[in-house]
Amino acid sequence: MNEQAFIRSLQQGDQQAFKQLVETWQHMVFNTVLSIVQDRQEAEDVSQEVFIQVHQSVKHFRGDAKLSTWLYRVTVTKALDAERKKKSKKRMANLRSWIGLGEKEEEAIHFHHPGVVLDNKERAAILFRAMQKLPENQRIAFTLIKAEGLSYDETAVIMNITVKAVEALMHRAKENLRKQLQSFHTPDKK
Amino acid sequence: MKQKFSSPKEIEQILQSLDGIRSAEMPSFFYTRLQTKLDNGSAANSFWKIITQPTVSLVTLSLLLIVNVVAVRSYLKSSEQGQSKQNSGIENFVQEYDLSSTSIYNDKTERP
Repeated sequence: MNEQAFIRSLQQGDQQAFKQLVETWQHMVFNTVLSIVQDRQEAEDVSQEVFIQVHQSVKHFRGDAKLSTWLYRVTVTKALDAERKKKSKKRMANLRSWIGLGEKEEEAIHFHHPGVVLDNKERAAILFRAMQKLPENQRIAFTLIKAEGLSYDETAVIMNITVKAVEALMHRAKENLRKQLQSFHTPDKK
Repeated sequence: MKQKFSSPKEIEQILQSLDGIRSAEMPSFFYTRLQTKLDNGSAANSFWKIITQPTVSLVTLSLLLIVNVVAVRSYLKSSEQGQSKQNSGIENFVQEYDLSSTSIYNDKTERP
């Protein structure tokens, strides 16, 4: 079945086609969300939201972009929304603790991506932590290229910008990460 | 615990730590859980779909308006009746105690 026919089946509410879509793309969606939200349980919840959104809005999908591009866009948007909600919740908790109405939220423990090679586990955890502080566009570009393994061309299509703009975002992302890591404290090895 | 800042070499190693990363896999039976959520969501959605339909909203709004108009009219009517009852009560009281007569201090007729 070609992509157009597959999209038509989805738009007609074919449950078998939807199941096929989920089974084909679930790992991509999960990996992208996980690299952004950095929590397994939350990543699964957000992935569910992604597919619910796809299920509800596929009838409005005009096929201007490839299905995979559209899926990546929905995934990144949902993951960033979840991040924003988490940040505002954290700010509220800090405010409540400041005025004495609650306890201060604990700092999240280091996130270990399950796909990272064992030797790099600690370094990757530091990098993921630093990535949280990047501006959104730089973070998306860095995540899609480094964690999802996409090319600059694919990233440009997903982000709806030129390849040059992706290169600029990656350059600035690396610069920002370097600056952050320079002041990053590492415990002395015994 | 002693701490130090990351060295340039270490920073480059950290930046390259995602090289060769494998894609994380979704936990098993994801589709089953998603299907359950979709089914639950569609039941809740159908309720909200009905509630948010323009005709339903319009009818509800009209009903609320009618109820408000009736309530305001009945309140005005009852307050008018209450006012007249209260006035007649005061008049009876004045008559019974003859409070309408002027006080001796206000009496301007000359006395011997």
